[in-house]
Amino acid sequence: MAKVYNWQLGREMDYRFPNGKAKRQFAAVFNINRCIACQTCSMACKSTWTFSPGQELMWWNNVETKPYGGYPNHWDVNILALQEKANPGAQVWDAARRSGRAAPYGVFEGKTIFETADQVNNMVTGYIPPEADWKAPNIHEDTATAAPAAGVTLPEHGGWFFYLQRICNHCSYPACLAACPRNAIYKREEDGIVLIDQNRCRGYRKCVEACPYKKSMYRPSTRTSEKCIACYPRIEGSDPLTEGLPMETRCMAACVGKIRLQGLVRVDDRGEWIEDRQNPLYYLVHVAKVALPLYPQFGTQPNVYYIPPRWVPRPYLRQMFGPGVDDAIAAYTHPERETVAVLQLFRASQRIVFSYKIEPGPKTAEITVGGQKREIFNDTIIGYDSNGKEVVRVTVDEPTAERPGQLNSI
Amino acid sequence: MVSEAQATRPGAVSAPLRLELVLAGLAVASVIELLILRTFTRTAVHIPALSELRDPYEALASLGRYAYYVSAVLLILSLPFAVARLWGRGDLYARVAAAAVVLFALTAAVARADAASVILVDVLTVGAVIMAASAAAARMDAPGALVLGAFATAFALQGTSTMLQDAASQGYGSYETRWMLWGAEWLALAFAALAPLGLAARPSRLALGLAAIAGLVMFAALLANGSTTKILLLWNEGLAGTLPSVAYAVGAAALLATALGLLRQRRLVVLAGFVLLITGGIGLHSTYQTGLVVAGMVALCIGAREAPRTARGTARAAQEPSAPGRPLASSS
Amino acid sequence: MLILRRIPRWATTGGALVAVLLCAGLLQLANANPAASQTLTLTAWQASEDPGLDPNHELWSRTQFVQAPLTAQAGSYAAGGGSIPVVWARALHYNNTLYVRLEWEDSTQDGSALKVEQFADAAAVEFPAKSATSVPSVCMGQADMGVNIWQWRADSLGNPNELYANSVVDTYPSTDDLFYTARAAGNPYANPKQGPVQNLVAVAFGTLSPAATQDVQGQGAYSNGRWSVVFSRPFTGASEDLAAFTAGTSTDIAFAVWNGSEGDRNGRKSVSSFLTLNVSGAAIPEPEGSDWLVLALAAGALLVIGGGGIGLGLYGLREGKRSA
Repeated sequence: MAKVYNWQLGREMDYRFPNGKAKRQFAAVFNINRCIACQTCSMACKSTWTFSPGQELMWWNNVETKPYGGYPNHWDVNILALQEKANPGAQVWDAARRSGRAAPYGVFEGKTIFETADQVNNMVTGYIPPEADWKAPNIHEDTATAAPAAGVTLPEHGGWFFYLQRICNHCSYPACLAACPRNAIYKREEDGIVLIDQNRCRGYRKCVEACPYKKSMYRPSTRTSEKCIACYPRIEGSDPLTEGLPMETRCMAACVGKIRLQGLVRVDDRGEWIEDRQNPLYYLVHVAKVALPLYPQFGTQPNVYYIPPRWVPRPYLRQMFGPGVDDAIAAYTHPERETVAVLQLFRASQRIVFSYKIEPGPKTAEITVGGQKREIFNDTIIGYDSNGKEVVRVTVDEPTAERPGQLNSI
Repeated sequence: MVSEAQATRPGAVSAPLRLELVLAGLAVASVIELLILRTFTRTAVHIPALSELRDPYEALASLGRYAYYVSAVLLILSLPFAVARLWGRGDLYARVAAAAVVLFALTAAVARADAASVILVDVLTVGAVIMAASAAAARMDAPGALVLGAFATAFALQGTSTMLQDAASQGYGSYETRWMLWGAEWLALAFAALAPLGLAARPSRLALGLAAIAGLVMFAALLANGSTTKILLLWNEGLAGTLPSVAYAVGAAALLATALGLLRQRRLVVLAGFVLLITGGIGLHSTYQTGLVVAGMVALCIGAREAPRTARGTARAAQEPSAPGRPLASSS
Repeated sequence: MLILRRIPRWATTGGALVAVLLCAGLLQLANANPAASQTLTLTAWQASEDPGLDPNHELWSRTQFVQAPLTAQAGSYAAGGGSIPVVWARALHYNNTLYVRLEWEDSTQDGSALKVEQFADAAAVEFPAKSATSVPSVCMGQADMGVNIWQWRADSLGNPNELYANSVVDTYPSTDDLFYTARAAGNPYANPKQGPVQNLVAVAFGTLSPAATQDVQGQGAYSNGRWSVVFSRPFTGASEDLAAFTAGTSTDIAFAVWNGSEGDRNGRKSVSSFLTLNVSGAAIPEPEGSDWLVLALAAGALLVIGGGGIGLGLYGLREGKRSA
């Protein structure tokens, strides 16, 4: 057992191994507010990686309807119940003890999935979802909690659902890696991507049992387990299209709703993000604080961050994203001028944007949101690749063009 | 009662090593060996960061091996001493014990040289343990005899099971022996649980508290990490761990209470014998472990009439300067 | 005696102590163990005909067995198991090939691992590697002394759609090995040509790996709540990290059994400690005619035990009353 620092929990925690030497970490921000659950991401992933015999039930990327949906069914409720049983009534946060990047959401005072395990029979508290749980990946699609006759209004809808987009979180402290008795799972130094060595795997399913997000999946046709590989050939820049430069994964690049932004962030020896003010991910997570980790209390320090849905009851969101929810929603509802610009980078380029610069533009509108007045500026944001070369340039106001009347078919 | 004639004989007094000292040293060395070699080095491989702790581990492991060799030398040394001492007493039971030691020594030598059938070695070593136990039991009162009888019977059941299996490997028929192991398990636990009564150990309140803690630790170890604890029980003591955890917890508590009680009563020779039975364990593992049991029985035989002292007596004894050559095990 | 009496007692005792410690050190340096092991021995007899891989071959019923007690796996992570308390082991050899047959009671036959929650029954035998100079740690060997493990699994590679009689798949675009990732990576578990037994080597926890040569054969059979499994391999080990056997010599052997329905896999299993495996040059002895000796010995031993125990108790009681 080693002591490692988990900044999402604001404290040290027990982990099977000491901190690794990852220099860069695969990370992404998903804007739940924008998702329309078209499943283009799911199909992009499926048609790239999991279309072969034995992978029928395997969806490395899935989009599920919360609160009822889940792939595998009820995965999160089941883990939360196991944790609550192990540490009843004590899985709580002290949100008052916030401090900078080391504890941005306060301190989690409960136990992680590593800390509730006995470390001999199990390294991680978890369970193996039976096959039936994997067979309805989009169960309860679009099912709301209620249909109030009077309709719904912000800030919290009386009847609600939202879409949760899920891939492997390529956690800083992966539960799958800690659970593998064969050391067949490893986390890459160069990008923090977590992979299962298909030569060493013997299909024990300890990773399936351990991963709280249930993103390790068993493949009976090879008797091994497989998981999301973060499209590592694209991250490595092997795709000829980007001429050797890092490229976003298939699920990110295929996103129709422009909800996803993915990149690589620099991390230090403690797994904390090194200050990188002009990295869009760094800005969204550590400066604007609009994007939050999924179930940080599990303790794996997941690396996909979510902009929480504005209309959902806060207790539910606080359970799912931690105590940073209220600030995140406020920061998204009344965004800084810079945030508005950075949100334009989502799905603007297949190449990974490592830094950005904003050129101020004129004020183009004044609107009122929730009783507060807001000015819109048509700023231009420019994204740069790993070599500092410009890869994308977008404005806040979408350029429009009026077609001449005679060309209209209607 | 049988008097400790040798204790007053000049030759014995000036002998460089008294049997009691050898047995006490053997008990200490075997405990260190049990803790380091048989327990630590067998579980340390499970320490995740062992690769980083390679040097301390190697050092400790070789210390454990050294403790084993010290223990083995003391064991070999104790055998002729024991024979001379027991035979010299002239009492029938002491002579039975002496014969048991001779029988064991010869069998162990033959086994080392690989000069006899393994079945014969099994039978003779079990026989030696039974003989030594008989002699020790006969010099004890009824509760003590019953407790030693339980240990010896458990040992013999396990040993017979091994002997029958060895016989099968020599080409004789194969027999089911699981009931023997089951019986041995019960008897071994009975030995542990009844040891405080049988050996009339009077532990202090503090010792009882410590024993209760030991019992709880054992219980917790079995509950939290049953598999490790059970395999250590099997390897070290020959117990399969098939009975309810609470039985082993009671056993562990009773063993510690007995040892602390004996220590408080200054019945050091009985204590050494008792400890040697525990470090030797049940059943046939190696001639070394069987030898520890035989030596333990010898110690119990010598110390059987060691008078249990009251707390007041202990206090007085502690005030007296210990005279050189004062017999450790004299009751006269 | 005269000299001894002049030397102070502490000096003689101290001197003796130093002598004991020195002796122990010398023994340790010389690696000379004065004790002899009294653990179980399994004898591999010379068979008169090829027993083959069939666990129900008539030869096996004539072969003596050894009952090896199993316990839950020790303190290494992924610990647990212990639901199989004993394994009946037999061994034969024929034409310089070793045959080991294990038999154990398991009321559930777990022969499939097609569903994520299913685990197959399995069994393994472990030997020290040819290169080992003494007995390695039974738990996956140790850095300087490896072990060779033959593992049999009750399941075979299958198509998960077999589970569902009416399942329909439009098409699989490609079914080359490349698309069975583990197979393409050379993992024998994923290789359809691999038999039910894998040849593995290990030098510590977490290092278990397939051996370069997969030449261990085996076959399992289940009936009446009992598995019987035969393992077989030629005497000569293909490399230094594998086991090697010679008629007339001994090596060590340990067993492990996994009960799939208990969730056994990896370190969660029932294991034995090392037994001695004696590869005998003798033929299978006929048990008839020589049993009396064993029976007499056993009966004698038991009489001594039972009688002795009770007798001593009674004697002690009488003695106690007399002295009171």
